[in-house]
Amino acid sequence: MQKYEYVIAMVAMGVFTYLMRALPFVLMQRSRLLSRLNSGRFAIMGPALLVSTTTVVLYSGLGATTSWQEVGAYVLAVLILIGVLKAAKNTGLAMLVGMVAYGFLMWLV
Amino acid sequence: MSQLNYFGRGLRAGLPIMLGYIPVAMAFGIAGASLGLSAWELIATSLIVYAGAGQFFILASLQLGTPLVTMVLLVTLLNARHLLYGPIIEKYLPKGLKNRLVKAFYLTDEVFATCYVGMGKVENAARGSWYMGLGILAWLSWATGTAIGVFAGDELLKAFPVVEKTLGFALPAMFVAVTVQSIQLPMLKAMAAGVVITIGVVSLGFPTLAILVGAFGACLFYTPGEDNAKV
Repeated sequence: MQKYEYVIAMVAMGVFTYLMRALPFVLMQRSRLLSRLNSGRFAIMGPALLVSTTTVVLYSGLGATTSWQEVGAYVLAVLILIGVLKAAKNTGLAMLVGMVAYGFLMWLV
Repeated sequence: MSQLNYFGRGLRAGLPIMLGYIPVAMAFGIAGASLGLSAWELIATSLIVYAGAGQFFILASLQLGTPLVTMVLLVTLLNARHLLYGPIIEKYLPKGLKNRLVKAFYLTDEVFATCYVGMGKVENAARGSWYMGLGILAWLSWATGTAIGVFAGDELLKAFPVVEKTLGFALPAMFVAVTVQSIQLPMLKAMAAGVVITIGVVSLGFPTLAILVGAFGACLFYTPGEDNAKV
């Protein structure tokens, strides 16, 4: 592969990635179909996307573990994070405690 | 409060993303350098393409010798989920197409997640600046992480292996935190169905498809009009 070929591919991927993010704003001006993503059954599309993305992220994370102890550390760290989030209602603090807990648990196993 | 202050509040809201982006982007920089890509090619990829999963897919494709046209098409398909983000957060964004087209560049998974949970709490007049603070910090964190990965990442991670694992938990932690905050009690049944569908599809080896199918599946299990109490 020539260097210039990679540069062309990179710019093309940048343009198409941008279009995936920007096109809906243009299309919403012309059609109401996309606006319906916020109503009726699709009113939960935002949280539903977050849940499915998080499921995939956690699935990949658990898939990367190499022992049951690591699985336990991962799950426990997620539970600690949720516990801190519920108690303190602070995303940054919950993340930080979750990460420290995960690092400590991984160090233990 | 001035627009600069709102921009600063956006920067603060972006700190969890920064915490997650830098280590992942470092991994991209390290892996890309090991494949023979130059520093400027890797940093430019992070600045121009700016799509985490997509960029790792680029590296895998280069390693497998996938034709460039196929690689471009597959990365575009991989990013197809982004088509849904704009319509969902558009109610929070300031009006004006030109303005929104600028903001669209920064609309990654993590920026979408943070906006969905946090932008509704920001005053209307402040949302444009808040979003730009959040978006620009996330973008620069991604590019900075790539640069650190290219120039110093390998040595850094070898010196502190526990830190590497700990930082690797940052993105999952961020997604869990914003997701828990976005769920309301009446959605639980639908979300559980979405999780089951997502796991089913991702276990077949299609993570992007799993995100889309899982989200649409959850919507089909949802009965509208009862979302009041937060979990």
